[in-house]
This record gives sequence, C-alpha cells and structure tokens, in this order.
Amino acid sequence: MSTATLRDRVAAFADDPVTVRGALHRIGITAFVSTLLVVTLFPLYWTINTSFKPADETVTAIPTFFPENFTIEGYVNVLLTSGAIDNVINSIVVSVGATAIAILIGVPAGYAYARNPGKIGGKNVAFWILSLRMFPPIAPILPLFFIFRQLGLIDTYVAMVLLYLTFNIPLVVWLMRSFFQDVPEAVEEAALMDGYSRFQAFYKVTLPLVTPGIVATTLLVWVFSWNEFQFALVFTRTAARTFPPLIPTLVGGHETLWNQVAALSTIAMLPVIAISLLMQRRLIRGLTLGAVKG
Amino acid sequence: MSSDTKTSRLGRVTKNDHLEYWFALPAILILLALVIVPMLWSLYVSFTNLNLTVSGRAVEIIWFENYANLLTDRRFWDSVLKTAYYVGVGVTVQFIIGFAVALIMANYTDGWLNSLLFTVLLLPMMMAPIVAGLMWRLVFDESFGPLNHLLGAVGLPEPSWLSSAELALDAILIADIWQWTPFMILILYTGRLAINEDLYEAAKMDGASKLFTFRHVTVPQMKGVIAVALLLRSMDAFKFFDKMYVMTQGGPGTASELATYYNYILGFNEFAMGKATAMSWLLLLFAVVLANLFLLILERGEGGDRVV
Amino acid sequence: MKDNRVSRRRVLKATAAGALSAGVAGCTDFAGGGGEELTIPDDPDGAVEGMELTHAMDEGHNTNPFDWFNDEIQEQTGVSVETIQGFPPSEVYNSLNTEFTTGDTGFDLCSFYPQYLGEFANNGHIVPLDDMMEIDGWDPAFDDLLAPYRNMYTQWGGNTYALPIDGDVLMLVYRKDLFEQHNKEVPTTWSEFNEVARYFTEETNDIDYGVATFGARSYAYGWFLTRFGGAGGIYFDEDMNPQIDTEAGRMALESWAETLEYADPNSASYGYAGLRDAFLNERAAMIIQFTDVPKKAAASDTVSDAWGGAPVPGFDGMDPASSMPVGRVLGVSNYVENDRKLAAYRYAQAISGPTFSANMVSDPDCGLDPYRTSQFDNPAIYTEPNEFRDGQPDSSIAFSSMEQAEEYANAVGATLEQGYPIPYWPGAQNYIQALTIEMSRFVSDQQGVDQTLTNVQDEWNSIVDELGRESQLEAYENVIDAWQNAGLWPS
Repeated sequence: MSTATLRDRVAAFADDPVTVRGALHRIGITAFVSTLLVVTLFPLYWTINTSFKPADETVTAIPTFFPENFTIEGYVNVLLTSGAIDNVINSIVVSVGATAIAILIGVPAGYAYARNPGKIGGKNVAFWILSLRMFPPIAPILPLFFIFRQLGLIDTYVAMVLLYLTFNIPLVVWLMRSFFQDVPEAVEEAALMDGYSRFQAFYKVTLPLVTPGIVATTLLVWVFSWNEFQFALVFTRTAARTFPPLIPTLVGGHETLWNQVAALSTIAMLPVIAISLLMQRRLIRGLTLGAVKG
Repeated sequence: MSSDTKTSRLGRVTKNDHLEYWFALPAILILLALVIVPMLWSLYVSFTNLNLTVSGRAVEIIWFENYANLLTDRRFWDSVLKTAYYVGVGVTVQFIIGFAVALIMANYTDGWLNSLLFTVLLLPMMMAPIVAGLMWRLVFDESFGPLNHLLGAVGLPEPSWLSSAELALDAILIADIWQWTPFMILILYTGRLAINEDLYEAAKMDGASKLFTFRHVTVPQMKGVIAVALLLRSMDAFKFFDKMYVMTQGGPGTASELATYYNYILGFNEFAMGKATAMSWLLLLFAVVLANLFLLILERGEGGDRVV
Repeated sequence: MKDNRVSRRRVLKATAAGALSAGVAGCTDFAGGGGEELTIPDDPDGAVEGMELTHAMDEGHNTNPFDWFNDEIQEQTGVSVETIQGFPPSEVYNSLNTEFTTGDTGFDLCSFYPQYLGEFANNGHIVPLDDMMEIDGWDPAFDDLLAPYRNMYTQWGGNTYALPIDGDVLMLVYRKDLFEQHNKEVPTTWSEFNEVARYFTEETNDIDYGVATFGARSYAYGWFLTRFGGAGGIYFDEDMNPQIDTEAGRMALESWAETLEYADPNSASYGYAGLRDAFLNERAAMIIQFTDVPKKAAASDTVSDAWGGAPVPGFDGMDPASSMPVGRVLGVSNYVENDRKLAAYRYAQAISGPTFSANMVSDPDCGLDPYRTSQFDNPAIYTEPNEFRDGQPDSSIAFSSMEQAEEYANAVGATLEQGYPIPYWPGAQNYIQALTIEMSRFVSDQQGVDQTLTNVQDEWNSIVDELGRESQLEAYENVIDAWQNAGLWPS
C-alpha cells in the first residue's frame, strides 16, 4: 500500500497522461464510493433525525429531513415514561458480566488450544468450539428454556449471563488462540529456563504480550452481548429485560412512538460507535475472526 | 503451526504437565452444560409429542412423527426455500460489492481515504441487528418514510416495500446487505493486502491486463480468504431473526417468514415443543452439511493452515 | 499419567450423564397444571387491604385506565396496581402461556383475549371466580353485562373465570360527509358495499380509496369470519369436520376478493393502527373496524364529526354477522398466594364494574369498548369527560354532541345484535392462528380463494387430530350449546 501524501498524489495525478478512459474510470470509482458512503450513513442519519422530532412530526405525509421542532422529548419519554432507563441499565449489567466471565474463562482456554491442543481434544475440538457460534440460537434456546424455567431462572441476571457465555466463550477461545499463536514459544521457553513455572511464564510473560488482543476481544464480545436480541426476548420479562426486546414493544400495536424508538436506537448506538471509532484496527482482526491476519 | 508438532523444546518440557488441561476445563465444562447437554435433551424432546398448551397429557414418544410432519409441511419448505434464497442472494451480493470495494481500496484509494472508509463502513456491522432493522423500517415506511418520498420526488415509482408479498423479503434483504457487506469488505481487503506485491509487479512487467491479473493473481491467492468469508457469512445467515421480527414479523402473510422465524413460532407461539425441537435439529443438519461442503472446498484450495 | 488422563475423561463423561439425567428427571413436569385451591378468609376486605398487584397486559393505550383509576380503586377497595408488565399485543398468548406453564407467574392479574379463556381455564392457569363473586360487596354486576359478553367472555365449564373490560365487535365506519355529498346510501349487503367502494376509488377524487381492509397476521381472521358468518358459515359439523371449505367460505372470500380490487393497496400490511389510520388520515371512505374508531375519529382533527357508524353488511337475503375478534378480559393467576388472588379479583371487579368502566369505554385515550347495558342506555357518558382523570381533560370526551353519542350507541348496539362468536375452547388458539395466517396470505395476494380454503381445511383437520378428536368435539359441543342458548348460533 503506497504511503504517498495527498500532495504527491495530486502531483502525480497532474503528471499522469490524461486519458478519457482513465478519467471515466476515476469518475466511476468516485461515484461508486460516494454512493456507498451515502447509503451506509443514510439510515443512521435518518434515525438520529427522527429521534429529535416531536412525535407528531414523525408521521407527517412529507418527511422532514431536519426536525422542524427540534426536541429531546423522544429521549426523555423513552427513558422515563417508557421506562427504557431500566432496560439500559440491565443491558449494561448483563453485557459487562457476560463479557468479564467469558474473558476470564476463554483466555486461558485459548492459550491451551494455541499451545497444546493435542492434550485437550486436538484441532477437532477447537473447530467444534467455533462451530458452536454457528448454531441458530433457536436450537439451544428451546431446551434451555425448559431447563431454566425448572430452575426458576427466567428473567434473572444469572440466566442472561450464563446464556451469553454460550456464544461468547467460543468467540474468545477462537480469537485468543490466534493471538497466542503469534507469540513465539521461544519467549516462554526462555522464561522456563529462567526458573519460572509454566503458569508464571504464562502470566508474567505471555499474557502481557497479548494485551492488545485481549482488549480487542473484550470489546468485540461486549458489543455482541450488548446487541443480542433473541435470547433476551425469550428469557426476560421485566426484571432483567435488556433494551433490544424493548424495541419491538414500542413498534406497532396501537400507535408507534417513532421518536422514542429512534431515540432508544440512538442511545444504543453510542457505545458501539465510540468503540468502533477508537478501536478500528484492533477490531478488524476480531471481526474477521482472526481468519486473516490484519 | 509450531504448536501442532511436539518437536519444539516447549513441547518436550511441557509434555508432562497439565496446565492446558486446567486452563481449558472451565470452558469445556460450561459449554458442555449449557450447549451440548441441552441439545441432547432437545433431541429427545424432538421424538416426543410435547405440547405446552395441553396440560396434564402424558408425554409420549412418537419417534419420527414430528420430522415427518415437518418434511411434509408446506410452510416448513416455504421457510427453508426463503432461507436458501436469502443466503444465496444475500451472500452473493455482499460478496460482489465487498470484493469490488476491497479492490478499490487496495488499488485506487489510500491513506486517509481508506481510514475514512474503514471507519464509516465498520458502523453498520457493529449495530445491533434489531436496531439496524428498525432503522430500515423507518426508511422503508410507505406512509412517511424518506425513501419513497425521494423516489417519488424524482418521478420513480414508490414500491410497497414492507406491505407487498413480493417485496417484503427483498426489503429485509436490503437491510441485511447494508449491515453485512462491510464484513466482506474487511475480510477481503485484509486478505488482498496479504498478497505479495511482487506478484503484481511481475504481472505488470509481463504486460498483463487488469482482468488477467485479477483472474490469475488475485483470485488464486485469495482462495482461502474468499472461502472463509463465504462460509462465515453463510453460517451467520442461518441465525437471521432480529430484522424479520421488527420489520415484518414474517409478513405480509408468510412472505418474509424464514426458517428461524417459523421455528420460533412453533416453539413460542404454538408451544409445540416436539415439533419445534425437531425443526431446529433439521436446521442444524442443513447448516452442518453446508459447512462441510465449504470445508471440502477449503481443503482443496490453499493449504489453510492460517485459516482453521 | 495415562491413567490420570483417562480417569479425568471418565469424570467428564459421568458429569455429563449426571447432568442429563438430572435434566430429564427435573423436566417431567411440563405444564403449570393448576395451583392451590382458593380459600375465602373471614374478612376478605381486611385481607386485601394495602395489596399492590402486578398486572400483565398488552402494551399501548389500553394500559391507561390502570393508571387513571388506580388511586380511586385503592381508596374503595384497598387494592392497587403497582406494576404493569407489558408485552406487544401480538404476544399476549405467548407471554402469558410461557409464564403459566412454569407454574409460577410474575403477575397476579392479567388481561387477555377471550379466545384463550377455555384453554387457560381448562389447564388450571386462572382461578375460578364464583366463590369470590359471592362475597359481600364484591359482586361483579353480571346482570348489567350484555348477553354475548357475559356468555363468551366469562364462562367456562359452568364456572366464571374472567371479567370483561373491553367488548370488541366489528362495525362499519364511513365518511358521512362524503356519502351525503355523493348521495350514497349506507350499504347493507356486501355487493352494495363493494359497489360503494368501487365508486369512491374509481369515480371520484375526493378521497383516495373507497375502502381499506385488515391484512396483518394479528387479527385478519376476524375480517374473514364476519363475512363467513354472514354467509351462514359454521366452524365444524357434528363429527368435528371443519366447515370452512364450503359454499359459505367461498362466498366470503369471493366478496372479499372483490373488495380488495378497490381497496387501499397497503391493506395487506394493515394491522389495527394501520387500518384505523387509513380512515383517520382520509385515505379510505369506509373501513370495518373495532368500535373504538368513531371515538378516535371524533377526537381527530381530520375526520372530526364527519363519521358515521352502522352494522356490518350481510349477504342478500341472509342474516348479517358481525364477528367479535379480540376483546379483553381480566383473569387471576392461579399461581400466586391466596390473598393475592383475592386482591386481584377485587381490583378486577372494581375496574370492570359499571362506575369505572363507564368512564373508560367513553374515553378516546384508550381503546376499550362498551360491553355493559348501562353503557348503551346512557349515551350521555360519551359527551362527558372522564371524571377520574386528573383535571378531567377535554381529550377524554368522546363526542362533542349528544347526537353523535346516540348514533354511536345505536350503531354499536345494532352491530352487536348480529354478533358472531369466536372459538374459545381449549385449542381454539390453534385454529385461529391457522385461519389468520391463511387469511393474511390471501389479502397479500400470495394465494387465491381455492388455495386458502383448502389450506385452512387441511390445517384444521390436522389440528383436530393432534389435539384429539373426541375431546375437541366435546368442548366444541359445550360451547355451541351455550351459544345457541344465547341466540348467537344457528340451531
């Protein structure tokens, strides 16, 4: 990838023999990329736009592209009247809890599979663990619903955290495995020769080296937990309900409070956007499941 | 790779200790308890006539009756076909657009523009799918949504996105393509970057055309990455649920009812647990078959030691 | 070392097996199956004093009365609702049943559609109310209930299980001003109805469409049944064979198909709000909808008092039928403590009673509709504000003139006289679901008349088989008996 500065590029462009085909080419590409950007951003813009309108302005026959009567009543109402503040708090508790435990359990497992998979089932088990992520959620939801209701765990934080572990742990194991594989064994060997035990070698030498990987994994796992819908829909009622299942209850039925729904969506987007902006590069690896070193 | 062979000194030293065992144990136990055991239980239920709306009736084993009923159920096959359509068309479109953008980003734009593109393009992927579905619901609305308004303003027809049987599925598909094409872009772009630039230099010096280079350098080098991208997205597509729920509830009629939604209805609308679990096992079967097909292709292609 | 590893693997296997058998053993109790028997204490009023209930119902404007009257009801009875557990209106059955089948509910009181009455009662999920009705001062004023509602909304197997709070029946709502302007008569037959629809859609520009219909999966069945009933249709014959794929079913669908030719094309996606708004936003000149539409219309700026109400049309020479889909009743969960059951009943009895209900069914800020004779005999309530709301706001006044109030009461009364009942015996839910899905597909043009009729027929047959032909026939016949006695069903 070239590292030319903008100035150089302009200079190069000016020096380039101008061909009709080349110019068309560039115009075509510019148009394509611009359209992409617009299409990507439009729904986000529209949602934020809707969130700042008063309820009746959201259903006008001619949509307004900027709120005529700018207001934050959507936000206030959804949080207080519709009680979304409780849901958001529940989301925070559940997502943080599920992430923390998944990391705690998954990181060591990832190390184990990176170093000596043979001892614990080999590559097949590793792939089996990843494949758990591919189950359609309805498959484990049905039996877990039975089991949890026998145990009286419906609509509890415990249930939600446990449930989220089912897809978080495989993700953590998978990602950390590839991060650990990047750490040369020589480093650990050296530590062992210096008298460290294996655990100390892991804890004091290897772990610090994969810290960026852990950070990226944590954020990724947190985002998935934050966004999860199906499990939350089935297993929560009022006490532990996170924000995703709340959204459909605000839609349809007798009248839809679009500004409230848009406000809730915007609130839900914020942490995700923040993370996305700050952690771009690190996240890419996680998002592509370490399939490609990036 | 070195962790697979036992010739490293670390391997020799650690062959006799149990650190990996203890490290992996909690994860394996939890997954066993929360996934494997319940799934086996659900397999059992799928052979029974369990239905939660009929209290007090003894639960009987009816063997494969649930499966037979499903396989002869028109609505089941409808939903599977729609899922196939959705996976086929959706993943293909995402792939084509994704590849195009990835190549553009590799060859025509760079530096700050690429950073900008990355940042913006990452956003849809990170949204909660239900929020993404909601956003598109707003945009597609026929009475007060901006899309039809804009189309009408330039004289184009204003389709009934969510209320016509023909378009409802495509509308949801558009929302999903919007959300997941960035995933393709990311994987394919990073894969493209990993290709040795020398190969391209050589091709250029030999006077190869762009198309030729694409077909004979880019694609072969990226076989593994392409396969993984397609595999991951196809598998994920089987989990599709949130957008259906908030945009159309499978409607109008059953026009946008995919397999996961019908399965949900069987389980939590009709409480026909026997049938619902049977269906989820059938879906799993389809997913496993699909995954294995992909793996076959993977193994035939590039070594894949980095990939799996 | 080798031994160690093997034995650990054995331990793992044993744990797994243990978990599995524990799971199997623990999960043998599949459905709630009824709670404890109710006992009436010596001092019921004292027992319920100060109780705060959780009430589960569908989200939306219908939760409002539980706010409006809460303080007053607490003063009068000592009981109040502290939490409302809301869910989407299409998820009433799932949400309640999911909790009922665990044998432990997070709510004391719940509101549901009467079509689930038989099943909930039969499965022991809701408490029989008869004993509590006898308590001094706790009488639910059943004499005041209109016969169809008393019959279909409260009784099962000889006991009372629920109290009504919302009487739903379909009625014809039309633009009086446009009808007068174009010299149109209110249609009394479906052919007249289709003709008027065609006229407004094709021959005038004063309004976009002559008619809009329901199409969403939620309640599309009601719109079929109203035509089906008018064509003389019945659900099953004496051997429990479905009677949908019959002449009556065909007549119903063919007339609906014709309506759709002239109807608002968005009808396929119209649920309650969409259809109502089609009328309120002046897209359609006529709609057939629930009886809260006139109240909403009168409260709107767009239609205001230009609405007219009439009973649903019928077929030439045959008795018209107005189907009665949805509706709401209050039930008491059988899985809470004894005294909470008493408190829940007490609250239900109060809010469903004449005093409070008169205010809620005449208040456009909720969607609850009249079900008591007293609410029809006294149209003045629709012109007065809700006396129990803070400040008695003007928005709680349904109609600005006595004339409108009377027209409303008359129209609703008339349409109710031709009421056509909805199945509500155990398992009814399955038939209705199958019916509504097929009807929704029909409206969205995914299938034609023949296909729809055949599909429903087949699905109903397999439901009967799955649930047990004998028990279904028995339940059905009991229900028919009651309907015939109330004059709601052909003998």
